[in-house]
Formats: sequence, structure tokens, C-alpha cells
Amino acid sequence: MLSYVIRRLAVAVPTLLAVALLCFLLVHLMPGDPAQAIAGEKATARDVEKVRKQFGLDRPLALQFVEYLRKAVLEGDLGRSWRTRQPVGSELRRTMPATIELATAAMLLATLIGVGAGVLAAVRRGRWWDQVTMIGALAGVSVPVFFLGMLLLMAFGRIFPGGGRTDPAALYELPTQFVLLDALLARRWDMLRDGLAHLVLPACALGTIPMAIIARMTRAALLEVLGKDFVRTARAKGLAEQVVVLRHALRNALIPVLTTVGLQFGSLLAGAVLTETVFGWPGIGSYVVDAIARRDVIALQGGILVIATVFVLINLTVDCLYAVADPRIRLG
Amino acid sequence: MKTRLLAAVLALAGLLAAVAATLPAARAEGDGAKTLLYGRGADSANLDPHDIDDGESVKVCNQIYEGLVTYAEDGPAIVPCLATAWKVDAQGTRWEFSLRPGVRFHDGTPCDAAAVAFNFARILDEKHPHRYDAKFPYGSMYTGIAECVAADAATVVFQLKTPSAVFLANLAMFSAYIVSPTALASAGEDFPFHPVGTGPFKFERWDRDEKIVLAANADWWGGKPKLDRVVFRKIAENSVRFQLLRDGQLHIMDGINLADLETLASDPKLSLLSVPGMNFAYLAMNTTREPFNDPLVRKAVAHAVDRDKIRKLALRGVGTFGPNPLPPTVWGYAKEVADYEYNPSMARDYLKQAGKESGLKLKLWAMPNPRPYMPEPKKVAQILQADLKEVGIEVTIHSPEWQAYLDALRHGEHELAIMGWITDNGDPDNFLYPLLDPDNAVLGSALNISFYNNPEVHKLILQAQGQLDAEKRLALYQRAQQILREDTPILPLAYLPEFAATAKSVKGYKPHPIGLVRLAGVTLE
Repeated sequence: MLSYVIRRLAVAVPTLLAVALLCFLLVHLMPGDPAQAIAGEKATARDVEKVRKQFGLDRPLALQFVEYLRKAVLEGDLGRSWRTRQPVGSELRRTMPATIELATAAMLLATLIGVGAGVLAAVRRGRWWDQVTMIGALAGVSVPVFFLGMLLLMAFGRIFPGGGRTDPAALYELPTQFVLLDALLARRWDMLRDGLAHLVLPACALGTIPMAIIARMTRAALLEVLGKDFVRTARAKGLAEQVVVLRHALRNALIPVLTTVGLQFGSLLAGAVLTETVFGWPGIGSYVVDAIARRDVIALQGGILVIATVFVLINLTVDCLYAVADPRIRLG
Repeated sequence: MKTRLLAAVLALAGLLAAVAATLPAARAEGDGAKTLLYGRGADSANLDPHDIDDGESVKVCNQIYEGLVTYAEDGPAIVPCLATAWKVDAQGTRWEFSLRPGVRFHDGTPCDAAAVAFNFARILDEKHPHRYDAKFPYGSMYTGIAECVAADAATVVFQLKTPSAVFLANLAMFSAYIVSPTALASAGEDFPFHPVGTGPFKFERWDRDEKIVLAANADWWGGKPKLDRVVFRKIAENSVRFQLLRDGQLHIMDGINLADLETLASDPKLSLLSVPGMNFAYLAMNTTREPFNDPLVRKAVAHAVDRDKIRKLALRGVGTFGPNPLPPTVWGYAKEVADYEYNPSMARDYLKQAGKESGLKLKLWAMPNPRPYMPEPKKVAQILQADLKEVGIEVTIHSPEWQAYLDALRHGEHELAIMGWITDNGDPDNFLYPLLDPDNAVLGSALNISFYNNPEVHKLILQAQGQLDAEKRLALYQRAQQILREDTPILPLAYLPEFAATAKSVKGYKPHPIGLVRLAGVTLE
């Protein structure tokens, strides 16, 4: 098992290096001069040249890349954002927890409701509940997140606050940058309520698509298992239907569902951009989008690198979990 | 099985309902302390006034800092602020300012002549030890200052290299705000995140990409503000921000979609505020490229475009238009210059005279995203396209991403492009010099993107910069605008108002023509 993990890790390192190089090139080859973008819309030629020198943009690209990589790998220093003047590392330590908190809430909601609805649909296959859930799931997959977010705000904006992670007038301390965790650690129940209330609408918006995918996946997987011989045997033994479905069938059907959950979670961490934009959620998605719009090359490189790393790590974890579940994979 | 699942679903719904029932005061109304929530589209970049060029940073800096002079409440006239009086010598190069007595920074240190001299040393001296990484984007506006010295504790003297009529207007800008030298020296490169000034509000906290919180400065020389706190919230989408304002989660918002104006006007809980602005959108014709190196073709375009149609169809009846490259709200605006009449047959005549009556195929560059001076670039581009086709000019619309767009325009890759300008200081020079003077037509960083170069206009603009007599200065600007009307390097498309939307509970707020946000006199009822 250990050698399998080491093998997988060894593959991950060149992958990340390639990602770093690719995103460095992409960022620098985008049309639009970064020095001009930093210097601003009204800058003169002299201002632009000054900025180019000040930020080392006049050096050859290869040199800039090697220097960037050296600092990132050896010193853990991702540089300073041009726009905000803050170290990119500390900006990512702030934005990542916001995204993780939102993605986790969305995934919890999606998994609980998705699996429940999927099981009911499979058990009541072809009946009205099945039809309603699957139509709901189809709608859930199809609805644009931006539109859904606006609808939620219009419908529930007077009950649940929209915009930001906490009450704008509140000044909470956030040592871990996780609002709910910090509230629990400090035993601030008002802060916990506030954080939860702000999570409801964005988590619903973000969780809808994964919820629909999980519901469909659960239904399909459970239907397949329910047709298997061991289920017939269990029924023939006279087991209660509840035991057959929940203890025997669902357990086997959950393996593909768990894979889906893992991969969906990974993509939520990287792809909550629209939800973050609609709800003013200060996560890594909106950070990267801002960086693109302002040609904040250093911030953009750091953001993409971290998102890619998270993706690679999640894939690695899923691979390892497979290996645990199925010996053929680690020995193959 | 069924009942258990149902129970689980019901329990989840119950949990959500419980959270909803015990909600904290999420409403903007009803807070005990008077906290004003201001919604805007982006976060500030940083809060060092000498290092910023984005409007969102300026908005917050306007509450924290002050300059020696400032703009009047309703326009660009210069009025006292940290300086109570000033006088200039006969040559127009030595300016002496008397400082307001007893003013202190938020950190308790005195805002005296030494502090002012320190600030200008920082702005002027590229090797100043307290510059850090700041890039001084507006530094070039102060290069005419030879030196700034403290004559005594309450008197500051500026020696200019040449007489300057725009000196006071430039002093009123955020880029000349006075920061606390003590705070700057102790915070170092972190000063942009721990700003200390003399303004009506003190910096309290910054949750990046979410909010900036300011607290009232009880010791402000203008009297304690009526609000306890101000929170600047970032809500990127205009429509979402508007929804939050309607839901009572914001008190003031800017960046209103034109499409929302009607809803806003009919909502009894909201107020729509507007004031004629100091911005304009224009169509730039690259005078260094075919076919616009011929003034006849430029005139043809000017007469081919129906700007009233643009105003009615694309801009929902908002704004005005005219012949001059500055809006009528700016004092140098030449009223007697005749506007370009919309007259397609006249346009065809001009094209005929130029020998271009058919076969002209061009690219029309239109910015990909709305800008404050051009909220509907796509619709405007489509109207332009149709109008030009009417006179035989075929254009295809080209909208690359914003930074690439700016870059291409500065390099003069366009023939025809939509662009705009918002004034920095409300002075006519701040339109004519950057947008139409050859000094700013340097390939690669041009602001004068029609690359217009008329030595006579150049001379008039420079003369006006050094002319302290307002009447003589006005005459120079009027002459320049007449020549520009003849040469037609650009066609002004629209002069737009400044809008703001507030909850009815907000009193004492009004938008400023320059776009300044001032909250010292605002109350919440």
C-alpha cells in the first residue's frame, strides 16, 4: 500500500510542476501588458516603464519563472500581489477557508438530500415520487447557478442574509479564518447563528447541481444493485424490505456515489466562482477572477497553483481510497 | 423506511427553520448603533492615498484623509480644508498656505506644516525612505512643484517651477491627501492596511474582499460625524447589490444598472439621487491611420451618428450630448460651439469629397464590459454600426477582453474605438490635456487615443495651464474647442449623470459631480 502511495506521489510532483509552468506561461502570454495594468488606466509611458522595472517585469520570462519557482518551493513565498500589496500566501490562507466552509456546507446539503431522494426514487421506481425527484434533479443540473442565486435572494433575501460571511456590522475575531469553527472554539453562539444564517443561501445555490447529480447517481446505482442475485437471496430469506434496501443494497451502491461526492467536492473547491460572486463570498474563486480582471499576475499564479494542488491532492486521496477498497488496483 | 426518510427530511427542514427563526439582526435597519452600510462593486486595492488609482480605494480614502484644500459640496470649486487660507505671489509660483490650527491625525500626532512638507517630500522625491513599494500613479501631477517647505508650524510654502492654473485643483485630489508621518514610519510597507489620516472617519478593520469598517472620529475638526460606523461592502454584481438594497441589507449603493432605474424610482422605500456628472463617452478616430487621417471622413462619421437615438435606445433616455470633449458641467465648456447635426446626406457628401463614398470597411472597437461613462457599450456599438452602414461605412464590432482592449488602443491598433473619461479634479485641463494633447499620444501608453496632434491646440492647452487669470484661461479653452470642432478627432457620444440609490432612512447624502463619496454629514433615521 505504502509503495502505491509513494508511486502516486512521485507522479503528482511533475504534474504540479507542469501546472506551474503552464499557468505561468498562460498568465504572461495573455494579451494586455501587466506593467500597464499595474500602472493604471491613466498612467504615462514613463510610469509604465518605472513599474516594469520596479516589479522585475523587464527580466527574461525564463528567469522570472525560475525565480518564482525557487521562492515558492524553497521559501514557501508566493510573492506579493501587485494590486493589494499583500503576500499572496496570506491572501490564500484567508480565501481558502471561506471556500472550504462554503463547499463543505453545500456538499453536506447535497449529499444528505441527494442520497435520500435517490434512494426513495429507486425504491419507488416509476411512481410519482420517482418522477418528481428525477424532474427536480434534471432541473437542478440544468439551472445556471447565477440565476438560481438571484432567485434565492429574491425569494428568501428577507429571511436569510445574502452577501458576505457574517453580519457586516459585526467585528468577529477569526484566528482560523473558519467562521463556524472560530465561533465554536470561542463558544460564541450568536456568531455561530450569524455564520450559519449567511451560509444558507449560498450553500443551497452551490449545492443544487451536486445534489441533483448525487440523486441521479444514487438512484441508478441502487437500481442496479437491487437487481443483483444477492438481493434476491436476501429477500428470499425473508428479510424485511427496509433491511434489504438499507443494509444490503445501499451499502454496495454507495461506492460509486462516494466517488461522485469526492470529485464534486473537489470541483466545488475550485469552481464556486459564480456563487461567490453572487453572494459576495470572499473565497478563492472570486479572488482568482479579480486577479484575472486586473492582470494581477502574481496573485493569479498563486491562486491557480493552489487550486491545482488541491485538485491533485483530492484525486490522490480518491485513488488511495480505491486502492484500500480494491486490492486489484494497488497490485496492478 | 419511508417514514424514517421523511422524518430525516423534515428534521433537516426544521433545522433550517430554526436557524431562520433565531437569525441575528441581519437587517440594515434597526441596528442600535448608527452603522451605515455602503454597497459597491469591488474591494479597495489599498488605502495609501499616494499609491491608488482605483475609484474604490478613493471612496474609502475620502473618509479617512483630507488635503490642504478640497472641492465644494456641489461641484469642483476649490474650498479650504486642512488649509484655511492661501495666497500666491505676483509671479504665480510661490504659494503660501495657512494651516487649520489644532488638527490632529487619528493617532494623536499633530497635522502641522512639518507633516505636510513630509508628505510632499514623499510624493516628489523618488528616493524618499518612506515610499516603500508605492507606485504614485498620479505623481506626475505634482512634478511642477520645485519644493514644499514648512515656513513655521502653521504655514506651508510651495515653490512652483512655472505658474500653474491647475495647482489648486491638483492639491484637492486624493493623491495629495496628508497621511500621518508617524504612522507611515511605524507601519512601513503595511501602511496601506493601517491608514491614518485626519478625516471624519477612522480606519477600524478590513476583511479583504468583504468589507472595510470605519468608525466616527469624535475629535474631527468639522464636528463628530452623525454616524457611528460606516461599512463599505463589496457586492460584485450590480443586480445583486440592488436586490440587497431592496431587502434592507444596504443603505447606499452605487453602480446602478440603467435597467433598474425604473424599479428604483417606483420603490417607496428607496430614493434615486442623481447629479450631472463630469465624465463623457466618446468615439475616437485614429487620426494617424487611413481613412481617419482625412478630417473629411471624421466629419462624415460625426454627422452620420444619431446620438439622440443612442440616448433614447441604449441609455434609456439618460444623459445629454454635445460637440465638446468635456461635459457642460465643467466651467471651460464652450457653449457657443455648434453641435454636429445628425444628417446622413451631409455625411455622404463629406465622404464623396474625400473620395471614400463606398467600400469603407472598418473595425469598431467597443469595450467588452460596462464602464461608468459607458454603461451599454454593446448596444451603443450596434447603433453606431447601423448608422454608419446607412452612409456606406461597414463596420464590424470588435470587443476583446478589457486589459487587451486598453493595450491595443494605447498602441493605436484601432481605427474607430469607443472610450471615455472621468475627471480627476473637475478642471477643463484634465480633459483636454490627457485626451487631445500630443504629449499624451505616445504609442504604447497613449491616453490621446485619436493620436490627435495639432500644434495650435497644443500651444493653447499649455498656455491655459500657466494662465492664472480665469477669464483669459476660459478664452484659450474656447478657442481650443472651436479648433477641435473643426478637426473632429473624436465625437462625444454622451455626458452622463452620477447616480446613487439610498434607503429612505438615509438623510443628507448626495452624489458629487466628480464622483466623490462623502459621508461626514450623513444621518440614518
